[in-house]
Amino acid sequence: MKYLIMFLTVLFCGTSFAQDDRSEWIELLKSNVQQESKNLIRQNLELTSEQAKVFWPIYDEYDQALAEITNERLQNISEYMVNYNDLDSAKAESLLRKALELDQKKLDVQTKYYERFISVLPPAVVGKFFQLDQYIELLIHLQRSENIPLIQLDSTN
Amino acid sequence: MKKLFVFFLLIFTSISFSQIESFDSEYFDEVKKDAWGTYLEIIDDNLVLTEEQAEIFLPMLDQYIADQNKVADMRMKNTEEYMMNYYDLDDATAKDLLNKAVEIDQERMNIKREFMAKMLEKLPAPLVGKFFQLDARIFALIDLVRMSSIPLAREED
Repeated sequence: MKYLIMFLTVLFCGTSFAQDDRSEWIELLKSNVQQESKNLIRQNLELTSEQAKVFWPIYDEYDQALAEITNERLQNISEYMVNYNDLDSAKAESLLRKALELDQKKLDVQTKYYERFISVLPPAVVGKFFQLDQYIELLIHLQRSENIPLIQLDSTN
Repeated sequence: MKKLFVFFLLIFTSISFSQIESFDSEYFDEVKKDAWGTYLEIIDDNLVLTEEQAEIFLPMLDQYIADQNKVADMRMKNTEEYMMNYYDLDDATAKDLLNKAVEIDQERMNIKREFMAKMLEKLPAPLVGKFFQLDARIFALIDLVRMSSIPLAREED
C-alpha cells in the first residue's frame, strides 16, 4: 500500500497543468492512470489463474464504465474553470447538481459491479479489490482537487 | 487544506497497517472527535459568511454533521467487525460486511443530496458549492487516512 501511495504521488507531482496542449495531456494522463491502476491492482490482488480469468473481463468493463463518468466529470470541471471568474448563481447550481449526479452515477456503477464480482468471486477477493480501488480513487481525487481552485465568493453571494 | 492533510497524516501514520489485535474503538472515537473539530475549523476558515447567511447556514451545518456522524458510527462499527474477524473471515461475514459498506456509502450520499437541496433553497449557490467543495476534500482525506489504518482483506488459508 505504501508503494501505491508513493507511485501516485510521484505520478501526479511529476505533472504540471502548465502544458500547452491540455486535452492531449489529460488523455495521456488518464490512460496512464488507468494502466497503472490496473497494474497496481494486479500486483496487490494476487488472484489464482482461475480467479483472474473471471475477474479481468469484468474489471475491464467496470473500468470503462468509470472512465465514461470521469470524462463527464472533467467536462464539468472544465466548464467550472471557464466560468471561474464570473460564476453566477445559476451556473454554480447547475455545476453543483451535475457533480452530485456524477457522484451518484459512480456509486451506482460501483454497486452494480460489486454485485457482479460478488456473484462469481470469493467475498474476501472482492473486498480486497474494492479496498485497493477506492484507495487509488481517493488519491486521484485528492490530487485532482488540489489543482481546482475553490469558488470565489464576492459580496453578492 | 494542507494543514488538514498534515494533521491527518500525523495522526494516522502513527497507526500501523497491522494493528489488528490492538484495535481500539475508544482511540478511534477520539480521532473522530478531532476530525470533526478540524472539519469545522476548515469550514470556518474558508467560508466567510454574512451574519444573515450564518444564521441560516450554521444550524443546517450542525444537523448535517450530526447526520454524517451517524454514518461515521455505522462505518466504525463495520470496520470494528471486520478487524475482529480479520484472521477468520468466512465468506458469509465478508459478504455481510461488504453489503453494509455499500449501504453506508449510499447513506452518506443521501445525506449530502438532502442537505444540498435544503441549502440551495435558502443560500446562494456559489456559497453552497464552496461548502461542498470543502466537504468533499475533507471527506476524501478522512477516507484516505481511515483506509490506511485498515489492513487489506486476506483470503482464508
